[in-house]
Amino acid sequence: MTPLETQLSGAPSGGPAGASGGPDVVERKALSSLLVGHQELVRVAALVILIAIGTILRSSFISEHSLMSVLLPAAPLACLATAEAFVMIRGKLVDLSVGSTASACALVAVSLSSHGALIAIVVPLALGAVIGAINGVGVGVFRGNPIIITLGMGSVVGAIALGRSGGNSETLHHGLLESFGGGSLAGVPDPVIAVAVILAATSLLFTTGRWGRLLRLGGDSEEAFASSGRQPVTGTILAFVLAGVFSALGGIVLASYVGTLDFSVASNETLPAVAGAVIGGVSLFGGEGSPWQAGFGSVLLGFLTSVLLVAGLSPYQEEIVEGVLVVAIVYVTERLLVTGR
Amino acid sequence: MGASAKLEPTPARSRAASLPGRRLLTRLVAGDLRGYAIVVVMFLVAGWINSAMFEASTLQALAARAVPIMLVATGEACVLLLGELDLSVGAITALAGVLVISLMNGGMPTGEAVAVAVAAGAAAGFVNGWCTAVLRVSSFIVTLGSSFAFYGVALAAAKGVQVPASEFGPTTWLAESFGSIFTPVTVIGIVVIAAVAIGVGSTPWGRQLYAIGGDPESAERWGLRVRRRVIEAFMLSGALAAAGGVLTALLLATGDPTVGSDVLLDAIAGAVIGGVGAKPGEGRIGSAACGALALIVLEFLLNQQNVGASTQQLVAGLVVVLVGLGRLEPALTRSLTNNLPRPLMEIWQRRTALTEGRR
Repeated sequence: MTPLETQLSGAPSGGPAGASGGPDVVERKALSSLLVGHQELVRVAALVILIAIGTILRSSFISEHSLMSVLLPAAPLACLATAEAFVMIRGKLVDLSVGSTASACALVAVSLSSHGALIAIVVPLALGAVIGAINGVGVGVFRGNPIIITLGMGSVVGAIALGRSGGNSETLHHGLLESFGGGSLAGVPDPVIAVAVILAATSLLFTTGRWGRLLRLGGDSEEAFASSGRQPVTGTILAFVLAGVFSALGGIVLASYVGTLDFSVASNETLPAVAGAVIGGVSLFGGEGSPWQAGFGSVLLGFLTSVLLVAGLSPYQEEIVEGVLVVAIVYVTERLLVTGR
Repeated sequence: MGASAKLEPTPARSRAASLPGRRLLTRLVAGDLRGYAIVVVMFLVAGWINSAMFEASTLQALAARAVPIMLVATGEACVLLLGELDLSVGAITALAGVLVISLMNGGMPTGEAVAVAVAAGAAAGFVNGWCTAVLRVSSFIVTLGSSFAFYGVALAAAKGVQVPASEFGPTTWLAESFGSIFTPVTVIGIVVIAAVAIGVGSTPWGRQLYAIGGDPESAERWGLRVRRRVIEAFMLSGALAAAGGVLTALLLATGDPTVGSDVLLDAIAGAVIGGVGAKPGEGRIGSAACGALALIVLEFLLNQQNVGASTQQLVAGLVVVLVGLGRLEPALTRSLTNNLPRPLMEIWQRRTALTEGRR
């Protein structure tokens, strides 16, 4: 294993794990088994608590307008988190190019929007699939470091987007995509509904379909999977292609309601995407998770951010707290949930 | 992967070992010293394309750009050696740059301000190392999260804008040349990088890093203080990243809280080009620094040829991807024949059978 894989595979340099014993462990096991049994309940409770805190801090937090202003930016983030989830479920992999891919695809969608909505949706999706396929072949066939390959690919994609657009921002043309981005159904913005439906459908297919099993089993134990006569590399490429497609989808959704954007519109969304997936319950070690969990994690992250802002933190302070919280949440989820198994 | 495949290379290898110089050549071309070879080749190519490359003024400008990145790459290499990853070096350079300029604007003498900024970098590295070694959260997540936090601190300290130095005086000596091609920046770079390279390559402390990178569990059972070494490596990485940020800020007389993402990319790519990071516990620090230098020479050359910013970024990204593909030579054919999806594999086998039949 390369170092970049070792540190993803959860083999910390702190030496062999689980060396200590005693009552502390028993107590922790009881707590973690409680949490493992009701993982989803804990997450829903966290969401309710966040909304409650927000409402206490500012009574208008619970209003429909305010809730939707949190959910709307969570929709593209949910797509990116799903993209990250596919790669993470495949096991010990991570995609650092989702932000750049989403930005590039959003830019393509906007610049093609004068040719009709169909072209403005299909072309970016195909572009995302191609970028994902290149990542997948690099990691799966050539056995490259996932972090280095996707970091480099992100830079390449960003550079091409910058070169093609000349750094200028472009505006969405009037049409189906624009009315979709601005529209709402019973008070809920269309992009939120669309993403929710897509994630629900994908999750259903993911849990029942063969391709989902391919990803989950391959992520659980690659050796066992390979010795059962399957090809793990197929799953790797599939995971990265799906990641590319969902990044592109996130970009299109973002473009539909932002309207005017440039090549870097979503480039800082990679960490929030990883964080959303992890918070939602997708394991960094592979084999566990589902698209809807990533989506729910993104919503949770969106509410966390907005509560921090309502609490009076400046965007910079919010960034500090968010960075610390992501590490803390990953620590809690991984320690408590992994030892509880 | 039969026994024959494993036995075959042995005679060749022993013959190679018997020839002095052959071993060194192998290490320079494909092994842990390849950074040195790549940087020499890169310089020759650059000089061939652009004759101004070897002029003193060009070399001085190159050093001003390359030394900070090389410092960051040196630190990153120490962490990669342990099998960990530090994604926060870019944020630490931004933080240290803002800090040193703000402190100097506040009236602190240059030396103290630099010391405080580098110490802040080491403290940031300590946080990373502590979370990785003691809390055992994967360093990928720790440093990704902490990079957000460090950028937040830098932005809050700078109030979101660049901080210009109020007086330019105390830092101009950094770029003054002596001995035609040397500047204080070059000397600082050579001294610091050589010190770290010797410290990691030739001291008991450094050998412990290699041992931990090679097999952390065995190292722990052997009685090495694994956690402490991990924290120290992260602190070294943080301090060197801060030193790089301080140097850039002093040279430009500006602290920019938004720099760093390209520093991170260049540092990781440089270390990997130099042969560190392909496998934990393998590689040489000096070679990693030279790998970063090679990358900067390439970017510098593109800049001199008036290639646009987007193309420069494109080339840097492509180099990173190609480097990330790793040791292609033996792995390539094996992967291609063993890991193809079944339909493609059948085509491959049929084609091979056909060509062999024709012969």
